[in-house]
Amino acid sequence: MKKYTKSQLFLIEVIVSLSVLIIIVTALFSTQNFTPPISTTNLQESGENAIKLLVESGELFLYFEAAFNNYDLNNLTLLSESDPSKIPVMNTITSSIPSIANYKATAYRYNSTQLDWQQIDIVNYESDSSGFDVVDVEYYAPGYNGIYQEIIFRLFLWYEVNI
Amino acid sequence: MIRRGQIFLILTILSISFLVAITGVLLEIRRAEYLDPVPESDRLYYAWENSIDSIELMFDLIISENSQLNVATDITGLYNGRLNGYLTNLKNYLEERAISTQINLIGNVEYYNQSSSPQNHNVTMFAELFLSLSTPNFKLEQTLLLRVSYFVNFVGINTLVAYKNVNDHIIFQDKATILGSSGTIVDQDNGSYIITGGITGDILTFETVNFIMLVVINP
Repeated sequence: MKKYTKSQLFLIEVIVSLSVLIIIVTALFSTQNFTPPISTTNLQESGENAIKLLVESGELFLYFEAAFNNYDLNNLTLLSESDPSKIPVMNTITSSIPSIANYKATAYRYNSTQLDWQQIDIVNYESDSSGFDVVDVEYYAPGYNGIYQEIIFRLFLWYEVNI
Repeated sequence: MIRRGQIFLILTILSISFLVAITGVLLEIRRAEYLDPVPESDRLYYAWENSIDSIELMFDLIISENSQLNVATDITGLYNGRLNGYLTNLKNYLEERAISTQINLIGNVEYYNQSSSPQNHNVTMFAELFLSLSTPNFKLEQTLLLRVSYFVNFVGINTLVAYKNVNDHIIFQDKATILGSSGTIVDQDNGSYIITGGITGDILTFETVNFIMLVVINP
């Protein structure tokens, strides 16, 4: 049997220890998290998507037109939630947000004679966040369908349960 | 005096403690929740998107106003004034939301109302803008070239096609109102309209849902 010299033994020891170190570090960092982080839909993003859908389908502008007429003609009342222009808006929002979330939206227009923003309507006015965290997404447009009339549509979203 | 074996022992203990310390710190970093260094960025990206969207809507409004009047080209002063007036409003709106804003119109707005043959008509509006939105630790800025065109033209003798072109992105225009035809018009709901029984020389007034008016002649 060949006899190793002392320096050879040290070399082998160093190589063994280094490989053990590398194996330990690799093992430590390659472990997966056994409990995946809780995933929640980003409400802000859902709201932005809902508004994008409303704008691209033209539903938002039809709704604003009806809301204006109602506000001016019916002595500053809210537009009925069974109005044919309001139902598509409510359906689009409901289908774009998670089912455990709820919403409320407000519509404003700029009054160029009084120089202020008037709130002309509320969508889903019976809902109430009752203390849950609320996010809001706003859409601003200079006008629509050939009429210059600045408008703001503000969507509030919240989860109905704590997550 | 320390013996050689003792030094090795001490060194081993030291290296193990270093390893444990480093591993501990790294694992802690891996487990820590990611915190966005710029929490404002999402809000600013959305505001950016909304601004560009509303500028495009303003283009539509200006095109609509002018196509309704059916005025000739080159009243640049008018378009510049109209767009600048709106850009000021947009800036005010964004600044009310605590976003420092700079919007400038570079050069002049160009507006064309033209047809290369009686069977097609288009209106185009073009402008170059500088847009900059910023919060104390995040900034977005870019020079934008925005070109919006509305086209309507005959394909063959009985099909009318209408579309909008925004920076070479095509959006077909359905649900339009067409007046002046002696035939019946069927909306295909995909930007094309089939006219049956039309007479050559009919002057058709085509109006999109956002009131952009174009005129074509039945071939």
